[in-house]
Amino acid sequence: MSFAITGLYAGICGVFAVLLANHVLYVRLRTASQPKWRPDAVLRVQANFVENVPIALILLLLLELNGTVSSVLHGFGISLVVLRLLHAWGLSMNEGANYPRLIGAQGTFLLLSIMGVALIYGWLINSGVA
Amino acid sequence: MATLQLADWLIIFGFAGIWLGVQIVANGRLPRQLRQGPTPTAQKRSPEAFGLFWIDQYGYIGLTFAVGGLAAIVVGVLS
Repeated sequence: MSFAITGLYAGICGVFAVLLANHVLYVRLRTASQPKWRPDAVLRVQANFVENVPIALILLLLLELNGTVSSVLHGFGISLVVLRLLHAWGLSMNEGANYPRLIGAQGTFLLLSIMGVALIYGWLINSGVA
Repeated sequence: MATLQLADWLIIFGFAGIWLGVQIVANGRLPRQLRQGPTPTAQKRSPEAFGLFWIDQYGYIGLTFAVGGLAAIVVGVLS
């Protein structure tokens, strides 16, 4: 059995995680020339990525294992990447509340909720409860 | 897992929207325009006013998710 679709998005997220980790280092090494808020912000970008993306990839993998159609899986995977990009852009480039950050964060939560509910719903259908 | 149809996905999106929307409203409370009694105010164009606007907007997003989710479930069940 191949998990090519989850593998694709896990790969993209993997290289993105390296970029975010190095961005933390980049900003830390230049604190004198950076705005005061930025070191904490880039740290939160990386931390939020690490907190949310592994769960999203596990849910995506389980959906793929359950035979979800590829177009839906690609939709979830592309959404995950775009939302994390928006969140990283919004939080690390702008101080305070802003739309890319809001859309990235809440969009990720919505995506996690959808994938989570889909797995629960699938179990209910398969077990004959629903 | 049995292949999910469009109606199934509407129900899934609906429950997910309600799940997140209710939490957003619980965090940010209802927008001031929809609350009864005295509500906080701030001077126009001040940082505090932006903060109130942002939290109101947050509440509307939560309400939209919750109400939209409910509608998606109804459409999904009926279709």
